[in-house]
Amino acid sequence: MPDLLSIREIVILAFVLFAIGVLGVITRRNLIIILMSVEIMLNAANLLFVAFSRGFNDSTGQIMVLFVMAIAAAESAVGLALVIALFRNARSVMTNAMDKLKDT
Amino acid sequence: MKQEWIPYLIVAVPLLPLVAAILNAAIYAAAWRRPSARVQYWTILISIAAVIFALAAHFSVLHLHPSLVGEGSATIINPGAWLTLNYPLRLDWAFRFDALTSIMVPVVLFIGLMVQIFSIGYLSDRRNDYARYYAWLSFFMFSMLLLVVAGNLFVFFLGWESVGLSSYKLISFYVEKDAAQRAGKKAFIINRIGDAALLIGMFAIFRVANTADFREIALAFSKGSIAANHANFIALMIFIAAAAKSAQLPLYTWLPDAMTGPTPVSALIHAATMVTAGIFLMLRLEPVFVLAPQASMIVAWTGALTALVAAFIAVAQTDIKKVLAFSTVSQLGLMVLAVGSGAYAAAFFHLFTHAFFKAMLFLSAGAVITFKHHEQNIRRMGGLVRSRPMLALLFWLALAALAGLPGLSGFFSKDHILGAAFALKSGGLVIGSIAILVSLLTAFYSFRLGIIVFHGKPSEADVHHDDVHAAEPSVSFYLPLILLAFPAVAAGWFGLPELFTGYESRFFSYFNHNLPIAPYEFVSLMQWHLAHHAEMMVVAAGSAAALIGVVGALLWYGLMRRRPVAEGAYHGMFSRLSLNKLYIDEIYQAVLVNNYRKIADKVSDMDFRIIPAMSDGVGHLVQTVGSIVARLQTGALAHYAAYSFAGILLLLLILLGTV
Repeated sequence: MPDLLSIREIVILAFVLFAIGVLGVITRRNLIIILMSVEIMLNAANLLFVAFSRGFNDSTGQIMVLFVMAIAAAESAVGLALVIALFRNARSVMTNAMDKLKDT
Repeated sequence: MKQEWIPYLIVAVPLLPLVAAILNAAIYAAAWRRPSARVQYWTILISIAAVIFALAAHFSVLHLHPSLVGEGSATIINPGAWLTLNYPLRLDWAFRFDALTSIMVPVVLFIGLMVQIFSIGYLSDRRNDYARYYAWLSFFMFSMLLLVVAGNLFVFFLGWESVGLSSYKLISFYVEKDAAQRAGKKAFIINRIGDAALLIGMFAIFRVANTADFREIALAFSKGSIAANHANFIALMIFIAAAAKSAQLPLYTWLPDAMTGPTPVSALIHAATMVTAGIFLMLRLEPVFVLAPQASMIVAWTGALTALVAAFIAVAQTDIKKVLAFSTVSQLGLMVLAVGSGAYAAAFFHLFTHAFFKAMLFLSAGAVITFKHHEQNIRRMGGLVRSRPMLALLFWLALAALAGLPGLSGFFSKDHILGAAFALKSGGLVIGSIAILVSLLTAFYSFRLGIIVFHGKPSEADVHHDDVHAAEPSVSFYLPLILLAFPAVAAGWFGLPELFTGYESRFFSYFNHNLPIAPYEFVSLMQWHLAHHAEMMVVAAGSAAALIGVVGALLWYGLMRRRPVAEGAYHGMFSRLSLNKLYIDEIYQAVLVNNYRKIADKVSDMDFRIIPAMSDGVGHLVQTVGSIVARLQTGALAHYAAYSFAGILLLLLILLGTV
């Protein structure tokens, strides 16, 4: 069965996804959205793993993806728990509210 | 007694006073808060015992020594290297015992002993300072003895510098007096000039002779391989050093100021330990001077002019110690004149006789000052002969010796110098006439001093205070004076002129036969041989000049009862010049000190501007850079995230670019 998309196109897609993730981390102030953006970046990497695994006919990449997904699940569990703890503390999930250590 | 002891005994001579100095310093450090009579007795006992043992050591050496006459008779001790640098620069602990040493050591020790005994009474109102005083006094004698027994220039220099240090400490002994501190500093700073010249001279000698040892220097200079201009340069440098220590013309101003120290210290400085060091240096380096006729002429002229200027100034001084101080400068001028004209034995002989009568003069002046309750102005003295006839007799004896009255020690030694001055080939008549004039002035101011202090009407102060004799020290004052009176009268008989006796006197033959290089060639280069009748003329002229001075003083101050007028009153031109010391101190102040201060002010101004600017500049730089860098730190999380991504991107680009 011929591939729907070539590796080249998948790499571009992964790049775009990654860039979206980066921009999200940089520009958004909502911690939940930042976490989501991190997930997008991870998935961009996953996409590359899968694509190259397919392209090189090597299943190592797909195994890596399983690992990454497990870690991502753990990470989002910890991350969201942190967000909840912060929200209880500061009644907000915005990064600009977290300025307790700032010298003003 | 064995010969092997000689080196130890020679080294013991300077070391004993050093031990006394250290012990006294320890006593002072331990007991200055709780001074007790017991501690004071120990201080004096230690100091005097050290000197007596040193004298004993010296005379044991003389007794054991096979002979001090002739070639190679000097004992040289070299216990080892002090410092070894690149060959041939080696600094040894070398000591030397020869004819010059054998006469100088007992003079220093004897005068020092007299001064120590006298000081017990003189400082009896400052007993708490005994330990400090005797520590420095002993150190002073140690320094001078080290200089005298030094076997090479480096050990000599060590003694020379220590002499400067201890004179500074003793001149400014009265710590509460501002003038004493200034005088101490002045002495120290002016001596620095000489020290610099001595260092230059030392290194120049080292350069041309490759050695610092006195015996090897004499060998090197006697071989004739030293260029004349080198010898002249070295001689000049040595002379500048001697001029600072021995108070010669451009550099004498510290000596009259040094009168602010305790009077016994003045006696020591003027007779034995300080001012004689310069003359001693020139005699020690006689091998250099015999090769330097041009420099010797400068030496002779400087000595003659110093003698004249100082004698002139002494005539109108009203401070008893200033008169004596200027008389010392003048007598030192005569010694320097003798060195310059090649009459080394005459210079040393005058140093020898002068030490006794000048120590005696200063000590009796100290007694006068004590009896007059710290009054030093001779205008407020007079008639002291009635209450203290003994002191008057001793003072007059010393004055007569200074004036050079026939038969006393000053007469014989001065006569040798007059003879040498007249015999000079170039300018002999002028220098000789100056020396005659100096004799006249010397006799005049000596008798003026004696008449004003001891005769005439007693001052009112005396009438009131005359009944407190009992509390005054008598043994510690009169014992040293009486002991000094014998050599002050008789020291001249060791060196009777050949003219009277027909043979060379013991002192002169002993000295002349032990000079490192026989100076006969040099003397015949510098001096005519005086005919018998010419020598008689010189003796007659010298005696006549002294007598004219004496008679003049007797007429003016004795018969006509003139007294020195008050300092502010009108003076004729000559007496004003003399009273104000020819304004030399003022000239130095205006020309040297003030300009130096101006330069120093400028430099300190730079200090206060440039160095703060530099240190502030560093601070400003750090602040500016910091404030620029600080702008990156916004506190917004987004910015930091952007920076780290940018960093990763950059790394990635670099990696991609290179791999």
